[in-house]
Amino acid sequence: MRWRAVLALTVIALAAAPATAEIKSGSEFLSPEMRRQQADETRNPAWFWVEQGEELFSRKPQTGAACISCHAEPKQSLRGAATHYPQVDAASGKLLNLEGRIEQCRIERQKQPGFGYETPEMLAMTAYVASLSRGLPVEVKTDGAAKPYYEAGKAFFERRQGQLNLSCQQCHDGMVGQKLRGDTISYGAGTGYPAYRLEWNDVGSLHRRLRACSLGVRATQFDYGSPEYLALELFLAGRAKGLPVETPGIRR
Amino acid sequence: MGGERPGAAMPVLADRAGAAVVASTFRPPPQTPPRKGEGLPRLMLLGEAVVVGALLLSVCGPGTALALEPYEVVGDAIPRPLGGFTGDPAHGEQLVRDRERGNCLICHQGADPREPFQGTIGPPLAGVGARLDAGQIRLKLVDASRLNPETVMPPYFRTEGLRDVSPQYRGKPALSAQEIEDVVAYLASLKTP
Repeated sequence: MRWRAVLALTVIALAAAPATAEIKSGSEFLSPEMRRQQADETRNPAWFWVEQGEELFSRKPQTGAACISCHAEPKQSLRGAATHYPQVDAASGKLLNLEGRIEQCRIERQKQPGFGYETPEMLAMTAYVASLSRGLPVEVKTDGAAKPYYEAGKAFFERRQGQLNLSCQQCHDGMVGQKLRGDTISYGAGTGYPAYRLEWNDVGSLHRRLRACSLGVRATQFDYGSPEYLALELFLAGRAKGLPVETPGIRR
Repeated sequence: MGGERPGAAMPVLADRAGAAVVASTFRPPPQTPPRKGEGLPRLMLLGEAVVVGALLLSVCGPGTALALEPYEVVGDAIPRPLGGFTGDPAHGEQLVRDRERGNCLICHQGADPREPFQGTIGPPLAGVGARLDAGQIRLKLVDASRLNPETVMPPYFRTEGLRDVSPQYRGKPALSAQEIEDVVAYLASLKTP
């Protein structure tokens, strides 16, 4: 029976398919021209930050070692590293995103003053390290030690907040594709960050973007690197599992 | 502060490709039009204790949370104007367009098709005055969750039961009673779909 063969092949094909996210990247909501600009290193302004980060990575501080003295051949050794963030730090039990890990390395291993969140240096370094995972699927852990953080992020995503009394979920699950004035509501995948955002005319972190969301519903803007946004970042990354890292992205 | 901070060496991007797009896509922050009778609602029923109380509070304690004017829900409507105020439809239209105050067009298609970039989330506003009466419009503005707990329509006249409200908005409704009445008067006038 022909249809049985077709069915069997379909089942095999489905079983063999890699786990893919049910959501789409923010790039899907850009115009074709902006997608082309994002993909073109000579026209995507965020590549300036990546280049700056690459330079910083090799620069030896007056005291202590450069990043590259431990992470030799970063294009190979750090390929894929960013796909696993945020992750729980085994030693401290704390949830760290890529910014947190870079800062930890800088302070504890290189014995240097921290860059600080959202500084040009941190943005450049994060953009560079994340860019080394460009095209690889997001692969964060959401179980085990990460589970409580993931659940906290999920609860944050689902609860109404702010004077406008809206949850992230109401827009970024229920209203995807709808227009908020001239902007199209996306799934809120963070796979392009740090990204060059037209509204900022600048590169910013995912937490800067989340602060803009909070402001939009007139809710408390949590600090860069706050437990609230870290947990939300993990939840968003969990939703985006299987989507490729696009850093440095361009976003509206 | 490490000596190796690149600081000023970071690229300046103002003249790069993105800037042209920014200039054409994004407007400067909107100018909020001066509001009539700032903090002093137009009183229609001077004898009403509630109104006088609110006025006293607004005079005595700027920055402190005001008790909201009470209202009564009857069925799917708030039949009587908040605070006994009379709405000004022209000011209501300004509030509907204004991106800081009402900002209604972020989600709704308004009655003026010339307005660029209108939202597609809520129902179109054209004809709302034929579909709903003033009391029904009023309840939808004040707190639409009383009609539908899952609604995405924000409550414009509510301060209770909200979580993590930004300090600058805490304890204040999104629109004042007078402003609600202005918007109600404008929307009720939109009879043509």
